[in-house]
Amino acid sequence: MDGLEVTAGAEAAAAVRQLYVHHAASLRAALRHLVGPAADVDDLLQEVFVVALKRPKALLLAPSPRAWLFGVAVKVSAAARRRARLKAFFGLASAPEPVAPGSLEARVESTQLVWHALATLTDAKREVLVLFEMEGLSGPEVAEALGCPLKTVWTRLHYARREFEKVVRSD
Amino acid sequence: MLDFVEATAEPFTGARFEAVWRASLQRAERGSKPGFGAQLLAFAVACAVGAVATTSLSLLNPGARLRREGVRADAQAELHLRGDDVVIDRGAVRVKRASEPLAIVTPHLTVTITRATALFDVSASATRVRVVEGEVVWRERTFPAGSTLEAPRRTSALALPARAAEIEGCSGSGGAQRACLERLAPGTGLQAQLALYRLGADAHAAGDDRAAARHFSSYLERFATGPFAPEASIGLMLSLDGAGDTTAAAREAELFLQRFAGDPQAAAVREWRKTLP
Repeated sequence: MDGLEVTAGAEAAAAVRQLYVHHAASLRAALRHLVGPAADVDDLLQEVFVVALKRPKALLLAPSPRAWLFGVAVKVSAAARRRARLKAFFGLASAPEPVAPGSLEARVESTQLVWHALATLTDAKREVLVLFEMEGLSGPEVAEALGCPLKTVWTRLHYARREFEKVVRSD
Repeated sequence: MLDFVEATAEPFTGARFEAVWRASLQRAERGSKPGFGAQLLAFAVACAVGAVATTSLSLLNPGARLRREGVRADAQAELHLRGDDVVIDRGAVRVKRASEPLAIVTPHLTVTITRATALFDVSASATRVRVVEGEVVWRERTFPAGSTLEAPRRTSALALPARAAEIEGCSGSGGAQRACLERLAPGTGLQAQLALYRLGADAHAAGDDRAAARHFSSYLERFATGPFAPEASIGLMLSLDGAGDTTAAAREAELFLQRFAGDPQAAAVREWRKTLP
């Protein structure tokens, strides 16, 4: 991507589309883990790619476009959590998403346990855990996505794992 | 370290995958929607001056013109005008037109409404339109009051079996072929049965499930022991479901299992029946 001349319009949209094809599914999964089961993840994923389509140069010239996209997803999910807290405060929260019909009990239980454990973490620890452990970003990519030093990533990850395992093992 | 099993309701592929991309493109062209905080502020201001308001986007969109066009949206809907067309990105919208045609565009379809009332429900994965009164035109087909159309269609493991047999004399296409089939359908022989079945299958493929249900019902009434009766029954249950009448669709599925228990499609019908209420 070094030296790539990027212009707005059809070419940029096509390049963003390629990134969508490669990363949409894992971004969507990350958004789900970051915001929780009640979120409209398709809507949040749209928000991520709206940003990408409006800033194609920043995305395509980033050291890691994948990390850039996940960074946007983290910001989008943080905003969604804030909106959810506001809505809950004003009594406007929507009902939680029902569990898929026909799913096996064990799968449902383990998924609910995961969400419960993630929900007990602070936003900062949850973001690091989701990006590193679930979405497989490298440490440097997580640091780039979150805009923090690599050392901070490892520290948060250490505590996030410890707290996560504590909740999972206690259930 | 962590072994997760995600029990998601639907896979993120196909039509849904593409719909999210298209919606992202539309929103990027249009500009960002106002955030919930901005909506809340608008609501608080409206209450403070004693106005009747909601947390909808109507305060920040050209709502007056939309209302003049006969468009009413719920609080979470996102819609805008593009020239003379109304574009609905998401949410529930009611459109009532008294005279001039109006094009309604969603990420999944474009319909024209003239002297009609229709309810649109647009999500990331599909658009569902219920025609309340008058008629709605989609893909050169007319949908009357009481009908429902959906795009992309709900996928189902149960599919209408195709009959590739050509009908002699009806080898044209479009309106000419339909006219030919309608001429043959009232007859009594195998050609009439083929024609009637094809009319139903073509209507179902075009999204006109009410017409499809009529043709398949007619087949089953007139040719209950005909060679295509099992297929007509499947066509009928799928069309009834597509038209929104899941109760009748379930009843037809149960009748199929009584009448055609040995049919190769019986297992598929049994599984499909379980997906209905």
